[in-house]
Amino acid sequence: MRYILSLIVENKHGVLAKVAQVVTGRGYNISTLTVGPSERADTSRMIITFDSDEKIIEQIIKQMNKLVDVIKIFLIDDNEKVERELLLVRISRKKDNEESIERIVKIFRGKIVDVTMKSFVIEITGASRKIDSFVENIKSYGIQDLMRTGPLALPRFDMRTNTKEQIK
Amino acid sequence: MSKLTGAQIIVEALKREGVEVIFGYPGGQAIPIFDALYDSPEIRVILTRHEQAAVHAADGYARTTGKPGVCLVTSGPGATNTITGLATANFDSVPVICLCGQVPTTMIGIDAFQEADITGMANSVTKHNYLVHKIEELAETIKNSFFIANTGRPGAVLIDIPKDVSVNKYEFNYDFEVNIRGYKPHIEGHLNQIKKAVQLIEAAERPVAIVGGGAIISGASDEIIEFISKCDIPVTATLNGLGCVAFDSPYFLGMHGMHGTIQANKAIQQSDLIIALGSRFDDRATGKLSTFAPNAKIIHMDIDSASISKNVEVKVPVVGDLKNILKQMLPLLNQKKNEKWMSIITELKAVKHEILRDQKRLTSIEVMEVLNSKVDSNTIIATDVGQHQMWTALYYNFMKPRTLLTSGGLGTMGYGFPAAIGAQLVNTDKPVVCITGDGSFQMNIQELATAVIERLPVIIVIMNNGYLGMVRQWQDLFFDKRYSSTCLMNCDHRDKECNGDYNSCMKFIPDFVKVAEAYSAKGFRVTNKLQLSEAFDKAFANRSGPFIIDIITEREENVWPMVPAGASLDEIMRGGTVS
Ligand SMILES: Cc1ncc(C[n+]2csc(CCOP(=O)(O)OP(=O)(O)O)c2C)c(N)n1
Ligand SMILES: [Mg+2]
Repeated sequence: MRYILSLIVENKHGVLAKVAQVVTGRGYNISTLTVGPSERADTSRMIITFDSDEKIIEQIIKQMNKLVDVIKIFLIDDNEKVERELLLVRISRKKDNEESIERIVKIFRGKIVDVTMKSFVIEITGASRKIDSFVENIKSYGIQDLMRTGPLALPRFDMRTNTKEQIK
Repeated sequence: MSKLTGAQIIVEALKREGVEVIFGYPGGQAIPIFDALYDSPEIRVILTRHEQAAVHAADGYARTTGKPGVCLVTSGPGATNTITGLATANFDSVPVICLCGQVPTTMIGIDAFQEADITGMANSVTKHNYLVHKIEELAETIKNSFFIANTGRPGAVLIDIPKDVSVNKYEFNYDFEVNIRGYKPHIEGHLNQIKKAVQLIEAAERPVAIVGGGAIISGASDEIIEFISKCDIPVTATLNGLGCVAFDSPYFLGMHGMHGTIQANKAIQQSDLIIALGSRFDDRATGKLSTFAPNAKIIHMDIDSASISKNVEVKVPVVGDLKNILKQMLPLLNQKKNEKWMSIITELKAVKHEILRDQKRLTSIEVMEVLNSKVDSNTIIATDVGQHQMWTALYYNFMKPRTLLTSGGLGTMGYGFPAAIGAQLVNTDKPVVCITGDGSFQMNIQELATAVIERLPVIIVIMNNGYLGMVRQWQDLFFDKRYSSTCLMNCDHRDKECNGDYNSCMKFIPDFVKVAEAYSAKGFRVTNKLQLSEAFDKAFANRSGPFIIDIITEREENVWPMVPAGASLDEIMRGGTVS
């Protein structure tokens, strides 16, 4: 099952390495990782997803919580969240595929953001599952390059679980 | 305010932290810091002969005092040499601060001479680490490091200090409160959880308490004794929990686990409630997890919530400092008698397992019996890793907390002697005995120089079996006696002629008595009980420097009892047969 962890960490040297090492050092595998600025300049937010089970996630959370540079960590509830991932994909352009590609992109509310004689670049945002199914649909057209950001996610409500210190 | 150099700031900060001794080894990038220490008679600097030993010595200092041990090394190889020491300390939750010199900030990343990404390397072997980018951060970093090292679950903290940070100047200010927003260890136990624990304890018929290293770190020994006496609960220790309850307590079962006593392992397996007090259910202690204490519910009290339900399923977790938790819990508990259970325990304790005696050479029990007759309850024992370590755990009469220094988690050969040096430095009035093996001692034998120069009367007891004995034991039991690379006497066991006897091999390699002489230390070779008793008398009377007792022991003695790796605690081998 997919688990989404949200971390608020010190915006400091070496923090990403420390977080990553907790995971890799215990033999677990990160599915996606996004790091970026948060609402405060001196902290960053990380969204890390794992394909794992409950017991392992519990252990990962506890171990990450022990890191001095991790200020706050919580598991994002799959049912009470807003989730967005960005996909960029370049697809081969052929005479006979233009129309159907355009149709699929439209259904998924994506955009064709660049065109050359030989290719389209398509942009899609949405929950990761939506992007999965878009990729599924577009596969047969010949994917040249594909890149996903991994999801960003925010809970719909203020989360106070696993708070080390509430951020003011 | 007058300005100080970074190096002077470090020294002032260390003084404020009450540091009285630093174990160190200098080099280019650390010279400014050593230079500042040259002017500070308040802090004694002990020059070890290897950086690994400096960390182990700081560790030994910390384990006996409960205060953080401090070491100081240079960049590059100096820093990388500390890794094993840091891992050893951190694994056993020992507060150690390691200061490393680093190349100047302007040169970090250019593969400068003796540059090493030590914070990157140290991540998985420290509780936390810092690279100090600016002198402005230096004092706060040091204060935070001491706080982190010795609060919550203690551990190792490394501070990497670029040369320019130690030579630049800045005002020194240390009068501020530590406030680390991501680090707020909570030490009080949750009252509701404690009440749940009380219910289970009162309902239990066959409870067993397990004391671990956390019990000693927390200083909870008195509370634990009060608890087990009040509720009539037998108690077993992990390796690092030894000393928390005196060996002769009617409740004490000895150590449990792979080389645990039969009564401890049986009591655990028959129990209906396990109360873990600052222990972490290490695999060497639990044996096969699925059959560990099959009928028991588990209460787990620990400062580290990540230790809870990591290996075993816990019914009632109580997170906090053990001493606090027990203080909260004791008034809620009613006096209780578990007569039936205690009579079973007494029976279990009456069954003695076979012990090897009267062989051609001295055996482990004979050595330990003589030692037990010579020591007092304040004696500090440091061990290395191997058979001698397990024999110490099984047969030595531990009376008090903080009298055993041993690498339990990492199992680091070479730990014992430098740790004994660190312990002896602050425990000047107590005898410090390092029980080691002929293999382990050679891993930090160079520290004889340190001990001689500092006039430290550490007694080094070498249980000299001519083997990497613990590995040989596994080869004996599980690899058809194929003694591949475990004989230290150059005995080639592929040669069937070799009978493991001295006649066909080197006599001494090295001759530890001569090694002692070479370092201006005292050395005695012992081959029988009478000599052993004499040697100990001489050693305990001697206070001027290290004293080696090289005991020629039975070559192929095995440690019994033994639960093979991965087997259940029920499957106890006591001399080759599974009972
Ligand atoms: C640094 C290190 N290397 C290897 C080992 C694996 N090991 C565990 S016990 C042991 C043998 C120790 O020999 P010795 O010190 O002579 O003790 P004995 O078992 O003979 O009492 C070895 C090699 C270890 N624990 N630590
Ligand atoms: Mg040996």
